[in-house]
Amino acid sequence: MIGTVVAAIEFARPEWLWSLIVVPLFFVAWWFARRFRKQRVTYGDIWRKVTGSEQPRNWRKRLRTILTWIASTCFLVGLGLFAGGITQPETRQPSALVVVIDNSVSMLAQDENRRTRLALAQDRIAQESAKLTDEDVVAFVWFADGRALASRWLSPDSEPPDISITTTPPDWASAQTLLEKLTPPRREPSFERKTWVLTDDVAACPLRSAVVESVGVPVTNNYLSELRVDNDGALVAKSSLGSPIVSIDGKRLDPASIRPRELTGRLRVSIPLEDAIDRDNNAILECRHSALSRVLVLHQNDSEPNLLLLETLRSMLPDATVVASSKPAPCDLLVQDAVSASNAEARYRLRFAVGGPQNTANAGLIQREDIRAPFMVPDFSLLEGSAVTLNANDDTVLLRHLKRGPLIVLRQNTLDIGFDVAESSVLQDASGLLLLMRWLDHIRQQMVETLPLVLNVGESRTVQLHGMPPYRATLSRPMFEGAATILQFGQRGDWTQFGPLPYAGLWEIRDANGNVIGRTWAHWSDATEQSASVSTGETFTAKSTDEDNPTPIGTWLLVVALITLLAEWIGWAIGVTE
Amino acid sequence: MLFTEDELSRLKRVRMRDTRVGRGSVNGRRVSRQTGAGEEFHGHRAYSHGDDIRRVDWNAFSRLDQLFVKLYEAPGRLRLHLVLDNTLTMDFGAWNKLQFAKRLLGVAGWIALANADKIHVSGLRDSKPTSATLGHESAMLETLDHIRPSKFPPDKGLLSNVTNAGRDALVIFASDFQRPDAMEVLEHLRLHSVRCVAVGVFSQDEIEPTMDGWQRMLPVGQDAFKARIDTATLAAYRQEVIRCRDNVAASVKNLGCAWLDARSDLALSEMLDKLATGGVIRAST
Repeated sequence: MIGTVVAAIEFARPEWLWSLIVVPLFFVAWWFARRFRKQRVTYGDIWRKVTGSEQPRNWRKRLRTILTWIASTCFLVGLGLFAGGITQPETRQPSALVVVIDNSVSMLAQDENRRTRLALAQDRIAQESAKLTDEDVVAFVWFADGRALASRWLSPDSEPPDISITTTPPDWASAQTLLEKLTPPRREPSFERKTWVLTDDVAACPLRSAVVESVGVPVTNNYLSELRVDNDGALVAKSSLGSPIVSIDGKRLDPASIRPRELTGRLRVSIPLEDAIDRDNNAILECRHSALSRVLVLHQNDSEPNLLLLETLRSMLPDATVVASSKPAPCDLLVQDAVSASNAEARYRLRFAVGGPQNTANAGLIQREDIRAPFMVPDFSLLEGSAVTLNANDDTVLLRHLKRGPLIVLRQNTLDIGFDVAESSVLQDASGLLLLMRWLDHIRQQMVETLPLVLNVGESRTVQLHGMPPYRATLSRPMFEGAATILQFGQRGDWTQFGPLPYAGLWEIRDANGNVIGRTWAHWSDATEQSASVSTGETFTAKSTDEDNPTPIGTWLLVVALITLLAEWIGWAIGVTE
Repeated sequence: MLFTEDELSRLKRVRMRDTRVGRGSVNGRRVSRQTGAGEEFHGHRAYSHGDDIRRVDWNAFSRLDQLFVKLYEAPGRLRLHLVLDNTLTMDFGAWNKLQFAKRLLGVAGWIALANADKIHVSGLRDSKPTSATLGHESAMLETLDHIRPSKFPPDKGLLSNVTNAGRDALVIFASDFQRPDAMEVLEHLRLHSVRCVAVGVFSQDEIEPTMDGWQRMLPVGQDAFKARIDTATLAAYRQEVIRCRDNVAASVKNLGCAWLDARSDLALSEMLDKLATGGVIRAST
């Protein structure tokens, strides 16, 4: 018990433990002094004569006086200097310190005080930087995109660069190359170059001539080791500790029961346990299954939108956002009612009475074509209303006027209906509604996964995109600015290779107009990098300005005063001085 | 307080012996150099305005046809100086020497005041002597009681004040004579023909010390030193102290002073006996 307590004692200043020798010296001197009993007498001269004690010599008194003066002077001066914080002038060579910081994900591991290794490293930097002077310079090296980056040479009191965590393991080879190129500014006397590495994986750091210091304590890390959507559309999520249960939007669910394709919006997958590195416990999936999520009903500037058309679309597409506007905008389904054709970006188009001369359709004048449409075309009973004839050279004609040509035509992604919604019963008749519903169902069934919900870092996948090329993929929260975060790919309407995504996180994919057409979570589960173990390394100590005399002058004077006082006391106790 | 009520009442039964201090003896008569209303004719002087006409010597006027006034010696009045050597070494002993000396001088002063003598009380090393007359015994004792040990040399003003009294003064000087300047005081008194009784005060502790082993000796007024004390050392010390005190007594007597040897643990009765033995006082019947 006592041994445990003693072993647990830590001294803030172990270099001063030698001063404890004063304690036994004190007791020895005290015992020595106690040997003599004090005796007050008269006839001092007679006592000296009979005891043979000589009159104290002057040098004994002078010695004691001198020692007393030295002790007193050193004590007072030392106390003053100590209080004033005056230290010896610096004598050492100015140093150029390069601090290499491992900013990999494992540096986010927290200790029992909830402080990350990166924060501890910053504390260490601040601690050692305090020893440097204005003559010294400091440069920082960290990692991004696996490559080493360096700051310019800074003064020790300058703010260090804002270093973010990178999900790519540090490339120590590039750091070595960078360090060789990083030369301190020229000056006289020249700088003394030092390199200080702060990492939690000392064994992996091959940097030569550097003090590699370990940061943090070993902890257990729980992270999303696997995250994918299988062929059945089910979400598979596993934690590194083997727990198959993850929390989705705050609810503990079995991921096998989650089918992201059935969801719309953002889905957060996270491990619900407290963890040393909580940043690797989350993933955000942008669920946007429907290709018809945004529907724009285009109307003329001087007229109101057709309410019947709006209500019909909203009832048929309950998950979609159906808006009416007189200005074209990018959307999934562009609906035009008697408005001239627009070249607005849209994946699908539904046009009523657009194009061609205005005609009147009468009962009996409409003939259903016997065609093989990609979906079952209903029998039309619509026999009334204004209509325009359509140009249908190679397109599929669904309904033809007996005299004036096709009235309903299906192009690749466009359904043209010659009837005017306001002037006909196309949306009031069962056949018209059935046609529209079947066409929309056909679009849904033909839905193509345009962008994957989740993709492992470094992997790629073939996707079909319908936006305006070229496409650009960027991290939604980039750790640093630069072209390295931009990924350009794809051709319109073609199957194209998407990826590989180099960094973990949520990527935004934009088309040429800058519109976000999808988001993909790049998942990274490098078990080696995300482990929270720590290998022990050296400890760096910056050479302070007074390393040869690390304590202030005042402290030294106090020590001299103490030693002198002790010498005087011992001398008096053993009879050297009087 | 130097004395208890019982001691004070006993002191009242004792009176000062009318003596003349002679060489080597305290025997003698009181004399006065002052002329006044005494009975013993002293001489003549020329009459001056304001003299009592009854003192004119008419016989001399008839013979010499000049006015002379007859002078008579004044009644003898002893000027007693109680001088206490308040050096640091006096403040020593289980029976404190300084306290004993105060009591001894207090006894002498009390008896002197009871016989209408005027006394002066002072510490040898203080500069302010205090006089006391009949009816002021308490003030005299209080003055003695307030004398404190001092490290300073004898006050010259005090010595000149004592010697001014000349033959009319009697000095009772209490000291341990451990400092040379105490003897110098006696020499100074002899030069001015002042009668003196020297009381040598000593403590049993300094005559018969009891100690053994390693000691850190702290001599009063001197620097400390360390010594190992054994029986032989104590014997040698006693021999040296006795020899020293004998030398002091001989020196005092050679200076014409009476010598009394007083141990600091004497009771009042023993103290009175000592003063009576020395001829300073005599006991009342």
